[in-house]
Amino acid sequence: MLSLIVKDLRAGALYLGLKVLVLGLLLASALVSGKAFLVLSCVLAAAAVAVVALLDWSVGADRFVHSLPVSRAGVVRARYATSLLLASACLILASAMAVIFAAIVAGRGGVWPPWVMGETALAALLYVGVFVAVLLGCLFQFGVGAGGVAAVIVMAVLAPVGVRLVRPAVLADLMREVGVIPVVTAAIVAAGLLNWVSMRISVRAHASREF
Amino acid sequence: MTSVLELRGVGKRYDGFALDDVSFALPAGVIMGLIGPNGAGKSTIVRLILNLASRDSGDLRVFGLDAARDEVAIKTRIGFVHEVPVFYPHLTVAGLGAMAAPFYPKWDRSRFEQLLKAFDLPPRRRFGRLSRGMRTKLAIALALSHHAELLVLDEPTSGLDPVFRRELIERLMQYVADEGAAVLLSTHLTADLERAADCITFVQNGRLVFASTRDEVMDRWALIKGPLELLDAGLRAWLKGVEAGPLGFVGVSDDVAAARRRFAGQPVVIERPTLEDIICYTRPPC
Repeated sequence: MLSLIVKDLRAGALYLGLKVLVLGLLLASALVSGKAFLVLSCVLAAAAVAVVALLDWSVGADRFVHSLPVSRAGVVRARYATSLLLASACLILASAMAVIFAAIVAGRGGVWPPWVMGETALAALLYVGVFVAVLLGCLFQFGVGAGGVAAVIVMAVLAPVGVRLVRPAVLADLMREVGVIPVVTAAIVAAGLLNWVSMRISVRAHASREF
Repeated sequence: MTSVLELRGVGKRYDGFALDDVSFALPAGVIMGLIGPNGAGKSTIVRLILNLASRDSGDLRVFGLDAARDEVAIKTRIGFVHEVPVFYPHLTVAGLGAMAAPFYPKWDRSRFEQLLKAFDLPPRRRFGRLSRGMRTKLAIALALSHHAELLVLDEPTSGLDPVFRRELIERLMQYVADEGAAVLLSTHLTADLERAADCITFVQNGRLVFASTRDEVMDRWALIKGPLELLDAGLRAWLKGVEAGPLGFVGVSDDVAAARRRFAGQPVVIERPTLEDIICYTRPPC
């Protein structure tokens, strides 16, 4: 599986680099607004995931990849692992940028921006976790064309509800009431579980695909 | 001889096409030509061997293992070339080698580099900027660089110039001699096979027509030419793919001895056919 993850990263490196650069600049310019920061952090992570997820399909390398000594299930698992790794890396990068920005502001006698907090990062993690589960689930289930459309529809339905329910402010309240560790653990478990279910469905769908 | 590859009653059904009850075996150290017209089922057989498609019936074993259940163990020992090699267009030739290497425990980097030199493939050129022939050469270099015990090559010579086609066939023969590997070479360029193949498997309309050694095929089949006066209904039924023109008829038979007996003393020419003759004259009527 490690070879497949390395292959995905290597294959996507050029496109990922470009997107990270472009979106990194946008992100830097949005640091003055907490909402924009959250949105752009998620867009950055989602774009990185989408690049890797769609690359094999878009260039038609599926037949090559599945002719290598890999199993169908291995390809699916590696795709989820790569996507979650990338999404986490993008969110860590965004969080680091936010913390550096906040530290600079605070160091100059200003106030630590209220949105540079753990709940913002946790909300971003949940949004991107759901995005990975939905996008990959739809792509493996329906293929790149119909799957992409299905993912957009599902996200369009889920996003308004999800963003309202899992706002950073809501998470902050929960952390105050229940404690930080239980909330973070629950959020990670929920995202993990959703991706695990999505992956199981994808493995089953991919097993019957022909190249 | 042990069979590296064995198909027994393999079937696969699609809308409008069915591969039906295909059986043949490929021993180690043998080059087998898989021939047939376009749409005969050659690529389907290749895809079933590589588990890119799932068979509906029959048994398909590679190195004695089930092609579907043990695909990872099997593919580690297989080198493959697809009819249209597609890799990542933005990666370089060397980069694609580096990407493939971790998948194969016996990856031989120095051999890969030697093959790139021999095939005039610039290591730093991106795949997307390679010509069709160069892409095929790269696919062949990848297939030959991990000491594969079975090469599954789907139309590897299409898109290649005649000089390189000849070189490739010689390299394959050398590879078989050096590594004791088996080669399944699917192609419609039958002249390549007449030089290199030890065995010929002929499929048509998804069915196996024959699978035997090249010499047996050549010795058994006959190309028959004669005057139109001889071409009655009985002869039409007896010959395969008979073509009649103002100068006479031409057809093939898969029983040269019977042909010699039948036409003894008659103004008929019986020749050894080429593989192309066999494919052309046995094609089903439109």
